[in-house]
Amino acid sequence: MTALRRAFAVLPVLALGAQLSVFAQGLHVDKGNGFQFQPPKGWTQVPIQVEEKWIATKWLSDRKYDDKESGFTHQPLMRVIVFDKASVNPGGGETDSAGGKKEEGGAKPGDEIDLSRPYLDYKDYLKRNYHDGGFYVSAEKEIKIGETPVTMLEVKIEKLVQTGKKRIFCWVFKAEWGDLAIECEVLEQSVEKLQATVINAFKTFKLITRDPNAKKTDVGGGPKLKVVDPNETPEQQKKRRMEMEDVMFKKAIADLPKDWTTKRTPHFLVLNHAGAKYQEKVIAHAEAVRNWLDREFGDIGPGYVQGCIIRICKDRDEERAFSRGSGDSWSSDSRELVTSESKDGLNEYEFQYLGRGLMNMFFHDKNDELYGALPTWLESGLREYIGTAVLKGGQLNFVPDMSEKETAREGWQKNKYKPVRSLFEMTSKDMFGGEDGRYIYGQCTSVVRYLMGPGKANKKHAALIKDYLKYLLEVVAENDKAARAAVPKGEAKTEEEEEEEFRKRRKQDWSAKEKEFLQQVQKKTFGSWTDADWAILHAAWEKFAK
Amino acid sequence: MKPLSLLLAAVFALPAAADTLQLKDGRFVDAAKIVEADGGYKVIYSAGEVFVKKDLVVLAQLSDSSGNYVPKNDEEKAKVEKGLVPYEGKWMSKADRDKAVAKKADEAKKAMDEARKHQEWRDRYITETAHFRFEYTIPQAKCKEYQELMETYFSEFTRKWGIKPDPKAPKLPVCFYHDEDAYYQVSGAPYGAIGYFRFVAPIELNFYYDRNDERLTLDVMFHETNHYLTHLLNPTFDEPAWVIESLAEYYGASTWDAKTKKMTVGNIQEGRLVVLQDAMAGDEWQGLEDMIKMPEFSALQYAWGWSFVHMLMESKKYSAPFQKFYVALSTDKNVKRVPYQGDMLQCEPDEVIKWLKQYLGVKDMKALEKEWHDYVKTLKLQSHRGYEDAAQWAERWGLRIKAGRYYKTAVEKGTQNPLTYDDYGQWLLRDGQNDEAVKMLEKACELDPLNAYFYLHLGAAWEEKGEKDKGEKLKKLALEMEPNDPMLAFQVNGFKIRKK
Repeated sequence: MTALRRAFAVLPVLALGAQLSVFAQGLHVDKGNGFQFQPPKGWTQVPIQVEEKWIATKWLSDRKYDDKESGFTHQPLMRVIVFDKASVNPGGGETDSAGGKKEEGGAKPGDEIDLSRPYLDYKDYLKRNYHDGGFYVSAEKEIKIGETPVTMLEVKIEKLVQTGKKRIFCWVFKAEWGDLAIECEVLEQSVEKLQATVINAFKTFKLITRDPNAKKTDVGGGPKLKVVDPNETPEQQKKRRMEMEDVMFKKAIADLPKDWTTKRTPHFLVLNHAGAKYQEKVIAHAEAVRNWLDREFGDIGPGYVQGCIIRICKDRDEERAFSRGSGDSWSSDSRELVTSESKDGLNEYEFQYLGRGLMNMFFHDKNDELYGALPTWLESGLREYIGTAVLKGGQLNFVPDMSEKETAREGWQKNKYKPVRSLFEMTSKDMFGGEDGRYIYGQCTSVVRYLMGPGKANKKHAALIKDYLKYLLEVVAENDKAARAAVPKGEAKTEEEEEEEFRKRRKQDWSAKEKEFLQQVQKKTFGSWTDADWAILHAAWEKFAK
Repeated sequence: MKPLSLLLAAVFALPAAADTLQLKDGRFVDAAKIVEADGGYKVIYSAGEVFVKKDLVVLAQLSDSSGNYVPKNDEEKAKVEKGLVPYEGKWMSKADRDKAVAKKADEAKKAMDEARKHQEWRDRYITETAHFRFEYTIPQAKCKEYQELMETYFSEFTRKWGIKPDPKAPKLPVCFYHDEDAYYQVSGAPYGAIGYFRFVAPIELNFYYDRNDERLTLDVMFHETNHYLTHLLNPTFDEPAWVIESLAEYYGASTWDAKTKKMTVGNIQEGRLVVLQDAMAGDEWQGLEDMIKMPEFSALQYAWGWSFVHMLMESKKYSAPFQKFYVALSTDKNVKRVPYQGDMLQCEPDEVIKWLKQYLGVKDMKALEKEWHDYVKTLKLQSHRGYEDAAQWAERWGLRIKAGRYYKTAVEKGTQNPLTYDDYGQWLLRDGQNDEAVKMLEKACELDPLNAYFYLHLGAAWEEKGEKDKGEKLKKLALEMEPNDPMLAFQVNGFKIRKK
């Protein structure tokens, strides 16, 4: 008997209500999406992503199962996915933001052109979201539960699956307004053990009347073209970002499962499911990094730095389950960092991730033009410098981690480092194109460590990074002005002319342009420097680094 | 522009009593109404009709093909007055006609249901041949061609390269999918890997049928099957990337004559040649020893590697010694092999170079490199397919005039790829040649009447010609054919945004 038939065979029990005693915890009721069900005993509710539009709820098993063939473990996750027929019209419809016809006035600031492709049904969803191996629908049966038509599906994941063959059980309930799919993925080797638990939970699934007042806010995730006013003032930008921050924060809080806590800090909304002590450690670190960024780089631009959500999962498994969202559950307006309390002694990396993420968002919001133009040496150097900072006694200590120290030791032994002057002119291709990429990467961090640390005591090196950023922005502005003023060359008239132009362009690839840009900034920043000045900088860095 | 899943969109909008066509390439067309017409079928949408030529169709299930017959002359009028009606060349009573129609409809439905069922991987066809176990979702007739071809390939290659397959070895599973979507979904291949041979247990081959470019399907099949055939030399030896991929590319360009059952090897891999011509234009030459030392290949190295092996295999001086070298790498006891992964062995690059020089009788690798580079300069594009690839390349680099010439050459050389007609039509439209653009886009629609984008582009061409209503109607038809494609919707609605 196939699993599907077995599941079907026990259905009459449902009518007797005999299964309810199996479940000790409460019913999960979703009035907005119009369903309720009883999750398996001991399973934990996992929050859904703020931008999520399809997954209504997720529940993570309390147990992990081993796959003897692959050596991996697997923790089953039960999800309810909703497919409302009234999903958005692809392309954004016929009207603009003011309700007028698009062709009459063109797109206006505030208009959004929706490029998302709504999921048609569960199979379509799976096809565009399942990436852990090749799969196919192995069994399919139409039944009725009460008056509700239900499609029972089994999906086998068999080819090119690294983490063990799996099976997805899914029942799709057909409501008048759309489909609701309840699904759970289990290891093929665990089907016998888990099938009854999964199917018993499915059997409790019931459609209820939807309450339009309980419907969750749509924060507008997915691919979109947004028309932003090119003349937007910093005040208008701040207002726009603050509104988005408010929407995101409210939605994140509304979606939280019961046993999560929320806390507002000066710069963050912290959503926590880990220990209280760990939460405080994360908050202290994040606030310290953010304050440091404000202090050191607060003057790089006029942008308002949007408030960020820090979500702390109780462990890595919960973090993974949280991250398993729909392909379009992202937004350029989102500012969220997800971390977890690790039990494997790797929390150090969680703090590194936090620091790097905060720097990324800070620079992006403060001055996106500047951030986009940062050369590799400075961007990667700063990222690692901030990422590896450790909070001790309320102060950030900027010290290299073990891996950086080890790379540095090898780098000196093998004589892999470049003169600092050359490093500043290296394109990303120059840095990472060869076999010495990791050493050069380490050198970038080390040079930034010197300039942000002991270099501040040297009169000529103290403001080097600040000056560099100032001149870099000047070069960006000059190049932009020159590009606008340039008279466009007429189109080639013959294939020969076209070919000649092409050959010139072919040699002027992105790397060549990047080199030219770096040389322009170098000239502007260090124009008055002599060879001796460069030698002093290199020697000072070398002394510090060794 | 790639057409999105037509089947999915069609099924979504499927009314209760729909008519259906199945095309020879495996696709289904569902619509509220499909009627038989002269030389084909008309698929009726509210915004217009789509004509599907009969020779594209393998099965038709129409809800009512009888209709009320209008007599053409007095003789027919007399018969109609007697209560007779014509049906498939015979006159019969209405009751008999209705019975025959019902029987035919029933048979068509069964055949359609059967064909549709086999596109589900769980209901795939399974057929065993002498050396392969085919598991497939494409129509059986199409797969049969590949079964014959792959058996011929197996026999010819094992004979030429002196491979003695184990007669007790299990047959290789060949998973052959009806389209790209099904292939990626079921095979689990990462995006961009258009076929694969799994060389560790359970070994198997996976590839799909490309309806617009069957040459690509053949190419992938020849390439991936070559990996299996060379794997038979020594299943625990991991051949260097430049040898295994380059030889597979050499065989990938093979052609097959289904009538004479003859396979021809040594053709030009024109897509790869376009990549090489681009590299040469940028004066970027691949060093031979550098290539041999590379642990992995990118698209550029596939091209260089193919050209090197093509030179060796097509040369009287090098062909036999190169084949001996290839076999020796896997099997010769004197070749030093080192542990790689699991029980697999591999050769260090210096060892490979040592044996290559010895077998080819070459002392100076730089001289061999020069010979190879000179050889590459002599290679020329030959077929429409090469010019199609070259046109795409020229468009990417902004070589507008050259791209137009290449498209034109591909058309003159008789391409039957609807995407080429569509691309060329759009090129002509941009160039202001509206009449010619309409012709090319109509040809694209004729070759693949189910690609909604072709109607969108044709609509734009008619608008440029000044026939706004006709253009609008065609765009609406495109949206009706693909109601759930955001890019299509954006392109239709997006035109409105840009117009002020």
